[in-house]
Amino acid sequence: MGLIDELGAFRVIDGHAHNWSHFADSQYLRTCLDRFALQGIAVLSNLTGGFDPTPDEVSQSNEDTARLRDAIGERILPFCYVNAAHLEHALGEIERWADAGFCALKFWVSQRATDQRTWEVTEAALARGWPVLYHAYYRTHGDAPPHEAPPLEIAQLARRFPQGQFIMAHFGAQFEHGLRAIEHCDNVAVDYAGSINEKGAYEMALDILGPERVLFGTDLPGADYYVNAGRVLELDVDDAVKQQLFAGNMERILGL
Amino acid sequence: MHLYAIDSGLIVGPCPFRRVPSSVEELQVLRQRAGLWRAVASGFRSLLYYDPLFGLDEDIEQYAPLRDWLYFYATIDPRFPQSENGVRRAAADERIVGVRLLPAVHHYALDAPEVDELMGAAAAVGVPVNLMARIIDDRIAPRYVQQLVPPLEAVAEFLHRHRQVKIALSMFYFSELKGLVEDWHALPHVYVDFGCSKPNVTSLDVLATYFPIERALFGTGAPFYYWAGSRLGLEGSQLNADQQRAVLVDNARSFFAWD
Repeated sequence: MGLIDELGAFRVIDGHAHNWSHFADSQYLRTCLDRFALQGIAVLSNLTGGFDPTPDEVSQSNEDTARLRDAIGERILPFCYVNAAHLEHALGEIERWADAGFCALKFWVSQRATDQRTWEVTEAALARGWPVLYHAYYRTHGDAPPHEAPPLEIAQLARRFPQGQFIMAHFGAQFEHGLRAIEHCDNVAVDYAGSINEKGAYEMALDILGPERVLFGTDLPGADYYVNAGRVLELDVDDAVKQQLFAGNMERILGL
Repeated sequence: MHLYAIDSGLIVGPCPFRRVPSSVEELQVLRQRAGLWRAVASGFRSLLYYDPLFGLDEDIEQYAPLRDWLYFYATIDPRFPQSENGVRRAAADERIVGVRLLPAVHHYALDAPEVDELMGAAAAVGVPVNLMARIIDDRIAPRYVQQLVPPLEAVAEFLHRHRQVKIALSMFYFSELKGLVEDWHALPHVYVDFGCSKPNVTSLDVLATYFPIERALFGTGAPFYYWAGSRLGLEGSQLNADQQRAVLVDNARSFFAWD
């Protein structure tokens, strides 16, 4: 049995994808959903506006997400993208898109997790019952975007809102650092979406966080779906645990 | 599992950053799970020791029980004294199948005279050369590891200058490879290892439109990296079955002269 057949035995939700580049095309995205047999895909934003998007760019991104959901249907799980540096606009976006069926909040790199405005936006999202997915990166080389949050800030945010559900993206990039940072925050789940591919990441996450806090995501279309999925298949755990990672945990967090 | 695949880029042995599951027993398990007929490895010791050949000796000794399927590159720092011994070793030792250059770690220019001498020596004895872009993802390498990936212009110039040697590029990313060479068909001595190259959603699907598939290799970097993602990426791609088999088996047989 090939790995493709192994993968076919699981129900899969991609908890971390974007509607930029190839996925701006709803027809191509639909084709990929069918080809990958995905039950659902969390669309986080198209990242219009780069590291510090204007209010208009944020609105445009969310409108593009909504159009994709309208074109493809309920397999699209729309996340509301905000720039908390534009506080009033961010709060308005949450209100607008909650009414339109969006299901979670996405922070990228335009605000630190320790910023007062981030707290206010987080509070509004949690009040809607949304989980908050936060890009987090511990970089050892190169220049980080000026307001990128490292994993320890995600831990601070999660402790400030113990009733909220958070998702720290990418395991915080350097996985030992990222996972240790949020280890004792039971309200933080993690995804390893993207192109970083270091053996041991999922194993450590399962070991110190437990299988309930580990999600599957890909960072499509900038990364390859199968490359991401294969990491989960490689794990030396029961299929029931793999199923939790592939879909069960995200279904629980989003109330699907 | 049927043992048929060739992994042209394992990274094995004691890793200074974290435990990597690469004991003899663990590599046997990897072999079975991944269905490897043969594999070519570099050990962390040969990649990181001052004298890479000392490291290679330790790798070969540790993994002697796997000698029926596990082979090695001889990593060489061309500016290290007596580096020509590495080329001789590669030509004479049946467990060594090629020379590996790692300028990102050893910090030399690809147009250095010592590199030209080494490539000349490799050509003279018919040993293939692997040019490894990096060991670790540039974003998250330990701070004390300063990887200086060669400029792409220098890599392209290196490929054009050394047409007498079979060269494989490894650990380059698709984002780098796409613009590295205008016409890959015009460089018939160059192979590329796509097993650890960070594809996006279309990278592997469209590979055959610009790259001669008969020169694509597949090294996953396991067990330092996950192998099954890379393999599943190939299996799930829109390359046809013959192309996938070429990437996974036939091309490596050709590159390492295992026909």
